[in-house]
Amino acid sequence: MRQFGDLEAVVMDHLWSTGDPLTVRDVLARIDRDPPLAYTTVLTVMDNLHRKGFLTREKTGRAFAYQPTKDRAAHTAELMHELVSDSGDTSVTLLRFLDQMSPTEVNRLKRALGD
Amino acid sequence: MISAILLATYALTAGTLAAGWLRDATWTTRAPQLAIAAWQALAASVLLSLAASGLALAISFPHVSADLAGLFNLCAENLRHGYASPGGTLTSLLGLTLFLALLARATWCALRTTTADRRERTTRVAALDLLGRSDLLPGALVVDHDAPYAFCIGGRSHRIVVTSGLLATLDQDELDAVLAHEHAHLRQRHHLTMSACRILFSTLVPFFPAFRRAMPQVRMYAELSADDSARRHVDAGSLRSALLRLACLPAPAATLAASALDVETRLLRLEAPNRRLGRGSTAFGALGIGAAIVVPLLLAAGPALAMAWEGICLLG
Repeated sequence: MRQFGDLEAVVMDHLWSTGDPLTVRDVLARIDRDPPLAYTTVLTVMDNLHRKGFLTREKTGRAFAYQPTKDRAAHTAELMHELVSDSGDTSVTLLRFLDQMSPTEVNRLKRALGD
Repeated sequence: MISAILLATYALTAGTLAAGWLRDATWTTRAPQLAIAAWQALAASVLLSLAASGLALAISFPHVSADLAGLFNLCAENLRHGYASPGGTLTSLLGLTLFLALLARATWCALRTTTADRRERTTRVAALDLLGRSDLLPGALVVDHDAPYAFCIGGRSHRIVVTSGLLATLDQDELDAVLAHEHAHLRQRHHLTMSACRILFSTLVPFFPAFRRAMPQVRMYAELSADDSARRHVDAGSLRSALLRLACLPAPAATLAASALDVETRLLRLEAPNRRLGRGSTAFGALGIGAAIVVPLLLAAGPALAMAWEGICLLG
């Protein structure tokens, strides 16, 4: 299962770095593995990514061409914002090393520390 | 009736006075794990005694013991007197309603918390796995992002995540300290602790507002506990300087109102040798936690126990 997760990351890396829409065969050609991956494996991985909303696809000829829904930076920024601003009202699975403080609180802390 | 009143009085006292005392207690920062257990035990105790109070009222339902005949007749009759309440059926129904309403609310809170947790954990871990790199730091994902963040997501597929901004901000010792802190969260299964706390507290908050402040407090105790664990593996000074460096950075969009007091508490604890609560006080606290669970049960079973003691039921 974890192996599948790794493959998803590899596929996304290729799609993110290319920038152009790629078919399953295009991606398969870019992944350098020994022994080579099966076409159906990559197809399944990309279909999963599409189902999870990470990829959009469009029919080109007989195959689908896939493209990331968001570029890497936008995706990261969005996720980080969500994770950092989660007040924990719904989920308690996330534990931050340090919660963000407002400037007022930062100043209060600095005063308390005698800076 | 008497046990129902005792239980309700106990629940009210525990949910207001005892909760207020625990909220303002100062020993908690010296024994964070005990403090978390105390909050959990107190909440469980209030829930238990309220539910038992409702059940004790319901038992006095006039027909409950009518079918019991023969050998147990006298016993049942006496038991019925022990729990009997004036008002009869109406009081019983009231008790039953209280019991069922509490059960329903607790179940609903539990389901809501667990499903929300599972959903968020799965989607976040999936996204982090795609965005983060696992080959830069052993045991942690590194996400390319300017702001310095470190966090962990607990559960079966747990992850420790740091941003590239964090790597750029901290030196190696500070980074090791932060990672030790996050590993401590995972080792101590704090996500489960926090889930249990959320279920207990959110069930009680509408009736006992004192539990509103409980969640931020146990979160803070989880941090203190992870700090304590981390400093057994790394230098407390490194953890302290990591904390100080990150706390004083300007926050880009501080949507969270983390309190300076919490950070100050952590910094102060890391400045001095770890002053843990003494063995005697800890044992005393553990005893109190046990009592919080046992007392409602004793109160609920009181009349039945008293009769057994007098030998009435044994005579048949």
